[in-house]
Amino acid sequence: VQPEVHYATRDGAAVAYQVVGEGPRDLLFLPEWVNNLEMQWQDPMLAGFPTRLSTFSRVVMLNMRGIGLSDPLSRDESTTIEQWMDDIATVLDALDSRQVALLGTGVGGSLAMVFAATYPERTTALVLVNSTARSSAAPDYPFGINQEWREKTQDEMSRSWGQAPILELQAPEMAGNARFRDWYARFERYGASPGMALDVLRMVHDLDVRHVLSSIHCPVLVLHRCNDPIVRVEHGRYLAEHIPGARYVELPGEGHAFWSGDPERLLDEIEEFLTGAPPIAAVNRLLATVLFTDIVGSTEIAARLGDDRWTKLLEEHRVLVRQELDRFRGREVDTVGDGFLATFDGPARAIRCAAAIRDVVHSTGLEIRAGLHTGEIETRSGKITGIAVHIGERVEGEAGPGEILVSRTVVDLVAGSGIRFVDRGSRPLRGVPGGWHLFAADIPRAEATP
Amino acid sequence: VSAVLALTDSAVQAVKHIVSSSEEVSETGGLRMVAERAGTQANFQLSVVPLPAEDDEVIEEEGARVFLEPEAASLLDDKVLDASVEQNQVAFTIAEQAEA
Repeated sequence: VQPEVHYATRDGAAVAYQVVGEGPRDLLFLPEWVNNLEMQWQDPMLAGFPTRLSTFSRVVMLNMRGIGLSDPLSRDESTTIEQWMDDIATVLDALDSRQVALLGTGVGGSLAMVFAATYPERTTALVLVNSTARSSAAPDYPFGINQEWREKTQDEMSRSWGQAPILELQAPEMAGNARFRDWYARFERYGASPGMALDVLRMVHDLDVRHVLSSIHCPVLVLHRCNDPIVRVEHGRYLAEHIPGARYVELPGEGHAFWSGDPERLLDEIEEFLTGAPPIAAVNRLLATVLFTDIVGSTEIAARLGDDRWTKLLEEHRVLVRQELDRFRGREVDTVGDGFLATFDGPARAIRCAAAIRDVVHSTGLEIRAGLHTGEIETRSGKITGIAVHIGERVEGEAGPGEILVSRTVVDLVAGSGIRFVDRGSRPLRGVPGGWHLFAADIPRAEATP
Repeated sequence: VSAVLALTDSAVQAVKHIVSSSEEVSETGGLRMVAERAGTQANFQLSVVPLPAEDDEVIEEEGARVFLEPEAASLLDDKVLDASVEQNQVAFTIAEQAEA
């Protein structure tokens, strides 16, 4: 029986979702991004998977914005992990689902990893199927796809979208089945438009969540088919080695799609793992983006203006910064001298907030510098500690007037955001061995309207 | 099966002691290990640093922090770090992890 489609809305935009099963646990199923909630129930292979999950969970599925039945993205939005996390939160909030287990396949798994690290208080367990921390190759990540393959795939995707161009790799056993191929091509077309598909593919190719892995603290099961032709098995082994305490099971099979081959093998492992997962322990460590800002030349300005005028200007500065933090969902942690320390659950929002602060503060005649880093922080009675906080502070110290400097981790996580960066090279940071690779966010100044 | 360097209780104590008695003391400081290969052998250079380098693997166990530079991390991912104190000298030893 096909479950009903519901819509959850935030800021006027609708996210389509379905719920199937009675529990006892909530399970968020994040399959590969091409999806259409209505259509996935037409094919017994695709429908079989969530049906089996629903025998031991309340399964929640959604179409991300721009995909399937959900509203399109607005002109100033783009597909990022952060945007997808917002869509998830919209649905979970609508369902009043406080804690969920996450099951992600392919890039759905990359998304699930970042969600689990960012919202540990909401995540009971994590299952990753044929997933990866990064798709593209790098000197320290040889099993990713190379530049040539990236371009070839993107080219093929834009030319043959809606004709099931990679069905051979998704499910080799179905490639010769003309009726299924026809249905799957239609599923693609109903899942995403060609431009949307290309945008998502580019984001997937640029994404790197390797720095997030050590910040995942819930129980984790990594499943990988040993002959997956899209996300090779080395990706799964890498995840298992780098996520603390992860359980790893390699299964036979040649298809990348979760529904290909013998999905019951996957489902047996998933059911055994999730039904045995313990409840969430107290959480005070989580993944966050820290933003440090500081006023450039404040000592000289204070001396020139005198105490009274400086105090007033500083007060005005704080009001303006707090307005922007509010607008971009930043959390003020501390005012450090004449600067701010704030945290964000999305790095792209943090960068845009820094740019907005820079621009609005400029209208008062002041200039700021900003530094950002994403990493694990520890929260204790409103304060935050951790290596990531100190790195963020050091990065800020390197920024020139009006500059928004970020670490490589931030750049890797905002893939798809459209934010451009200028490589500032490897910089020695005070007290840190070696150098850190820093980048300046290239966001043009908004014309201040006084 | 997560493969990282394990620390024994005495290693945890020794690392905490060394880091907290260093000039570089900070709430995020740790013991950094850098591998130096010599033929088929590897030596580990130890130092106390206030923060890890960009690509260091960070191991935190009960307040003890060990930073492994990538080469050291890959050499030590199936090992356990132990420590013994003799005549006020800390000696670190590296052994294979016991099969779970």
